[in-house]
Amino acid sequence: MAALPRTFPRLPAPSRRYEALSIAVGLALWWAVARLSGLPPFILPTPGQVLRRGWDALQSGLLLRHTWVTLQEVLVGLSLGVLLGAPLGYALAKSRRLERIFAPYIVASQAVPVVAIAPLLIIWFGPGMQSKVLITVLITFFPLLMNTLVGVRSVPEEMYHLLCSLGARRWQVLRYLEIPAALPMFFSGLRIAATLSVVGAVVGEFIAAREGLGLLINEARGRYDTALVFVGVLTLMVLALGLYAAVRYAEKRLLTWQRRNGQAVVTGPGPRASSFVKEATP
Amino acid sequence: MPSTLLDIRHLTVVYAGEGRAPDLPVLDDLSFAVDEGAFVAILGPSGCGKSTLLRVLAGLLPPTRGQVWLAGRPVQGPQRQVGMVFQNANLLPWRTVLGNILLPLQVQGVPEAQARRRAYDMVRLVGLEGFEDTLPRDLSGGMAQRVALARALVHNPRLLLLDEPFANLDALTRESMWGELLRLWHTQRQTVLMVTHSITEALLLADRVLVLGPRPARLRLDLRVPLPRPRHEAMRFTPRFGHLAEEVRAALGLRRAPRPAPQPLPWDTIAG
Repeated sequence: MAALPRTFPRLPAPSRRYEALSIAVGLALWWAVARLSGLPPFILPTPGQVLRRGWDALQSGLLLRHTWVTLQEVLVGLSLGVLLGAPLGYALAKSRRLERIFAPYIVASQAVPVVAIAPLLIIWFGPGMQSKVLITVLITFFPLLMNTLVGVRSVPEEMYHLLCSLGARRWQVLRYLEIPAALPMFFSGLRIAATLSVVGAVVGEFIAAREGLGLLINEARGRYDTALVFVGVLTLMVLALGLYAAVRYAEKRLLTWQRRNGQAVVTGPGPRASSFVKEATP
Repeated sequence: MPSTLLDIRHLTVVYAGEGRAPDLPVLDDLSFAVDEGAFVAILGPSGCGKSTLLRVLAGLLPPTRGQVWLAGRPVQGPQRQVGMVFQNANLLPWRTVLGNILLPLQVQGVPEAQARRRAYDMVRLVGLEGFEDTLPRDLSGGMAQRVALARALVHNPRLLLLDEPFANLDALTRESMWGELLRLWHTQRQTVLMVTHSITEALLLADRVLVLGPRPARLRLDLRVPLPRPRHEAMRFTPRFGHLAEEVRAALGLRRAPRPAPQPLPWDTIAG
């Protein structure tokens, strides 16, 4: 009988205090530069001024209104990106012919910066939410498609043999093998897409919009309300980080079988983890 | 008189060459039959098409010519009466030990409660109680291969196909797995067809050893193994075992070992 799994002691994780300290030092530096350089607030406001402007914007409902619009664009765009990218990635993974047919368009859509296509989409779909959603879809679907494709392609052939030898039907292979096997890669695509989705929405809002954080920043810039620009940028940061954290949380809940970083589980002789797991871990 | 479970008639497999590559004949007019409940080992040089043979028997690969009959019916596509163990344990890394053993029953639509009961029985049978919720990454090679065996047997197939199941295990684990496999075979009474590279493994486990030649594979030797059961690992040190091994080595085209034929010693009659 082989030895029971033993867990090696982890490297001591550095305390969270370092992060807090780093942020505090950064804020202090910002404050010091803003104060001591004598720059006017419309060039560089102090953290205190930004905080006060943020509070005002929050009280008046201005910040929430614009944030809500951007959040909607991001969530709808990202969802559509998933609904489009994942199935297409799966289809391309299964068919080299489809891959050949779609490759020129996919490559072309990625070769052109989204900022350059965005005006076209605004002309076609107007300055409303539609065009922003479309830009977000365009920017998010590629990492989702590619990661799904690579995830499905990385399923070892022997596992297909196993399922086939059991007489599994097409949907059973999908359910029991392909989806769980491709999930880690899909999630690493989703992490990238989540951050990009905020970029997509703001790019659209910068060009033409009636509402949204991009518009808020643009207008504040026009009025030299630099503190409000900072408020907009920081809100976008919170939005992107929140989205990223939500994806990470879902990933951790769904992929409990994956090896966690920094934790080595050592067992008896023989192959410890299939190479598959190592490949799938981003 | 045991009935025939598996009947292979004039089996030929040719891989069609892609583009300008020539066609690759792998199996050439292979015919043999296997009795119900038999343990047959298939030996052959690397790349001679042993794995191809198993894939045809599992219904994963259609033969180019010839037929395979399983329990009186021609094999056309995957068979539920077949269980398969691969060289690597081939466990799904996101499923626990129990989850992996459950897989064949889920695919075949066995009701949940019944499936779980059966899977728990299999866990106990291969001696992995307490490891039901362990993930494959935390299993040793030997334990993983036990799970693979349990998974291959859980839906109670009539034919168990083993594709070099112990090739990736270290020597000591492999020996303990031999005993494990024989014990399972004695309790379950499946018909077993095992592809292997090891002459010792073939002779020690099987009733019958088939030796295939180099590609395209034909049958070189069909050897009945007259060693008594229950088998014991010490049997491989007997002269009788040595003679059988020599016969297999000759069929494989390996050089005869440069030593005189061993003289029977008094204790051979006891051990063998």
